[in-house]
Amino acid sequence: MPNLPLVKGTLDVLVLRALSDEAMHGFEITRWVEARSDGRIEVEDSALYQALYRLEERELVEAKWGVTENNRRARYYAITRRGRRHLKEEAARLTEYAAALTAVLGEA
Amino acid sequence: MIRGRGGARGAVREYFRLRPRTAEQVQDQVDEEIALHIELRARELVARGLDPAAARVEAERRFGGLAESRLRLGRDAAWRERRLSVREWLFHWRDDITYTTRALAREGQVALVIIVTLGLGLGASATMFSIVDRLLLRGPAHIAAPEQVKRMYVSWPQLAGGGETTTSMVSFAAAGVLRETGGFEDVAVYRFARARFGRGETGRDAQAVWAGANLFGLLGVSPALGRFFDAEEDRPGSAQRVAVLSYEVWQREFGGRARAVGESIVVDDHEYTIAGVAPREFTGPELRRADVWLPFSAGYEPRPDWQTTFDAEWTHVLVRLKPDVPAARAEAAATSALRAAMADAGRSHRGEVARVTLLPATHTLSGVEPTEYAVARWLTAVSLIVLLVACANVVNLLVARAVRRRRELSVRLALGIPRARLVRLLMTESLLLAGAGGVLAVVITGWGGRIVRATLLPDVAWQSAIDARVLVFSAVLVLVTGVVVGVAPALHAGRQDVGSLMRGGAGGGRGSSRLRSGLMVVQAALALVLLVGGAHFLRSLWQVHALDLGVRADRVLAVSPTFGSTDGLPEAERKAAAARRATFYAEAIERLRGRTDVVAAAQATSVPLQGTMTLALRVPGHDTLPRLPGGGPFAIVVDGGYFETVGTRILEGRAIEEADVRLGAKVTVINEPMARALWPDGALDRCVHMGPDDDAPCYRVIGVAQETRRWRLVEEPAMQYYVPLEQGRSGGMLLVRPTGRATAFIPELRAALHGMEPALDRLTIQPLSATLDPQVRPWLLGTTMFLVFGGLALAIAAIGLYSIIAYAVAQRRSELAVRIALGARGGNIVGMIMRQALLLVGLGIVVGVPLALVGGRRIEGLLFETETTYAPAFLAVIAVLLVVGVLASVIPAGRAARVAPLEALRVD
Repeated sequence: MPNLPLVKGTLDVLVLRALSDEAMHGFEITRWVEARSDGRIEVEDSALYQALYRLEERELVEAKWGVTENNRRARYYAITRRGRRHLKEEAARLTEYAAALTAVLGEA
Repeated sequence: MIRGRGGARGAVREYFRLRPRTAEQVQDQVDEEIALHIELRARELVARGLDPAAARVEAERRFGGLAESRLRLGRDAAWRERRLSVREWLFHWRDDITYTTRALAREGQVALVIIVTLGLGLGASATMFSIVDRLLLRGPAHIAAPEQVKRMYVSWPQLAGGGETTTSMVSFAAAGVLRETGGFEDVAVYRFARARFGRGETGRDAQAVWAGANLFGLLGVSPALGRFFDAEEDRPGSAQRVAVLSYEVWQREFGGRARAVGESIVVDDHEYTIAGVAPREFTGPELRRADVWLPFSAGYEPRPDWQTTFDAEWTHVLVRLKPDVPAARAEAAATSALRAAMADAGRSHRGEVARVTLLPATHTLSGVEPTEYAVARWLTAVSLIVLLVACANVVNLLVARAVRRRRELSVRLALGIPRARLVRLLMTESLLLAGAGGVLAVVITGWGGRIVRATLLPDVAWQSAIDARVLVFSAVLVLVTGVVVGVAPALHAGRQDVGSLMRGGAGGGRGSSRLRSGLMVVQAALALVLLVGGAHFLRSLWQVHALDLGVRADRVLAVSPTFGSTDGLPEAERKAAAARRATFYAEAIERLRGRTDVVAAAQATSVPLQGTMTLALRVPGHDTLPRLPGGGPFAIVVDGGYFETVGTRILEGRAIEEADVRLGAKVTVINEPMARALWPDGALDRCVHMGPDDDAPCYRVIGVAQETRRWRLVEEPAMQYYVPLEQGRSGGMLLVRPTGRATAFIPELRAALHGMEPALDRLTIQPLSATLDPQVRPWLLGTTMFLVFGGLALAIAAIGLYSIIAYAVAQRRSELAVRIALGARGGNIVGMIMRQALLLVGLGIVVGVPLALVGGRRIEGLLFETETTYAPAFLAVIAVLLVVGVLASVIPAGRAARVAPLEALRVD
């Protein structure tokens, strides 16, 4: 299957989902999404950071500087309570949307 | 939550990392984030088999447009930081305010005292500002380029004694002269006059302005409704009876209805059609209330040649300067034009020396700035002093409170609150208190300001008490006060050493107690200065009331009757009306004299303080009459009861009596300056010829009366003489002296006279002193304001003293307990505490007296026959301060004496 381009708005949900397990820095989020989608979804790097900054401004995530295993300074993002709520709502909406689409398209 | 190394210490450090402040810092962080991302990507690619250089290139490519991306992300990050820090700042503020409000509510009493103190100080300042704003800063409303609008003043050298008299009362012809110079943008005439709306007893007194039609254009004002009258309606000889109402009168009499235009209104017994309404707050070129505007040519004409003569000086002339012509040049041009015109008209001897000056129309008739302005300026300083006193007091209270809270504050510091945050907390507190004080101040301004203006500055037309400018001023003052008041306690808290704070014990330190004592001394000194100023003004008032004016001005009422117009009535009715008018005076006087509540009544023309009149006079032995500085000789035509009614003393000989009037005796009473000037060796039985001709009858001098004032409180002596009224003659004024207070008798008198003569259209009744009231008002204003502000300052200082002493007592509880345990008696303790209080008051007096002396010299010009070194004033104020000091410290001193030793020592 070719690489799936991301539908607008879904990047936010993916990032939140990634962070719902544990705090990560930007590259870790990319790797997580690529791994979880078996490489089908490729995240554009600059778009990711844009999304992260916007999520931070909306207080759906909060950012703190931390240190990686290799002692490098990295900006870690953690999901907030508000973020979890938003994630739940949006994930449900997206799933429903996908199911509806599938039903409509049916067997091509 | 945060994975990685750093541990607890790292976590704490991260918690307190402040947000990046500059755009550069933000970009640096973004760059760092991107760099890491690329490096990790490259490492992953290397792990997959690429060589490091290629991996790096690929990683950068994958990121996508590195150069623009980092800039774009930098902007996004900056936006994010801005939004987040604003939100954080707002939350901190909300927290601070909630915390502060709760903390203040817990100490409600102190908070209330602070709010009231600040409210009084801010209220005084705001009230003063609202007055000063209108009087000095803004000037009359609705005038375009007001600095270009001036009034014409003419100065003549005085006949004796040098100097000049200046007046803004000029002839109508002078306006024409100015217009013809071509040096002015526009020239207009106007004059104020008392008038009466409506008819008979239901009429209402009003202030009318007779204005040339171009006055409105000169000022640049547009009507609120309808139009102003135009030149056609103001043409001499065919002037129309149209009127322009003031906005306030329109609201009051016509309910603000648009239909008012075209309706009619009765002014001085004539009907005028309403052409329009002036805009709100419009009072013309002056600040006086103007109820209705009428065409100049429709009004009273002093003589048939009023348009061209220079002899009748009865109107003001207003000019608008040309923008490129400086006032001095316009003055010079006007002066030479006026001199030339007067020379042409044969008035050369006087005209040669006339000088024209152009001054603001708000100046007095004699061209000086009204005294109210100087007093208003001083009172601005005074009100700010009161505010200072209030602030000093509040600083004391807040510092004392900060010291009390030292333990709580030290705990907060230990828990890690940055000092900056603590300072901000305390500033929030002081700003909140100042804000609450400000709200109280606005209330005080609205209500107190109205009282001040109505009682002390009634000549000025005041509008709403609170307007936007006053509110802005108050808000700024609140901010400044809040900051000033919060700085000291905040700094004090910021400097606290945590360790010593935790250890507790006697705190505060000597530094802050010295500050508090110093502020107390300052407060006492300022209160003294203000009260001494008030005492000086009070003495001025006293001196004014002690003046012998020659007439009992406050006890005598002057009545000017006007009868309804008989135009258009048949001949017989007109004759009957004339006959009734003739007997009105005699009948009225007889009736009034018969009443038990009237001491005396009389009839006279040109009564002192109400008018002057000159008649041709010839004195044998004097070819020309000597000229006294006050002018004259002025004539007063009186009936037999005059001297008794008015209270002028006869120094030699006798007064004019009923018999003289009845017999038509040719007698006269002259005043003392006249007697001394004409016949220094004895004036009685001398002869004075009334009339310019050689065979004018001789009037025998039968008495010499004391000198009386003509217009002003202080005047140069002038010649004056009294002649008997022609029997049965009507005209002039009725003078009535009731047994009780004159002003209280006015409604009675009005009812009695109207009842007696229904044909009466208008009765103007006022005490003789009415002319003097405006002259006295500046001293009344000064007295009231200095005493009120001084009293305020004293009250605030007393509260401050009380709190200082109470605090000191609380601090010294252990020491007092020991003293009592060792045998000190209550009296000793009380004495000790009071001595401390009186020491502060005493220092304040020592500092305040020289300040009051220096300040006194500056206000000496505003006072009336009062030296500012008048010792009793100082002694009285010092006594008041000492008494207040004792009273303020009595309660804490009493409490000190009742300290129970064991209990006090047990508490930490």
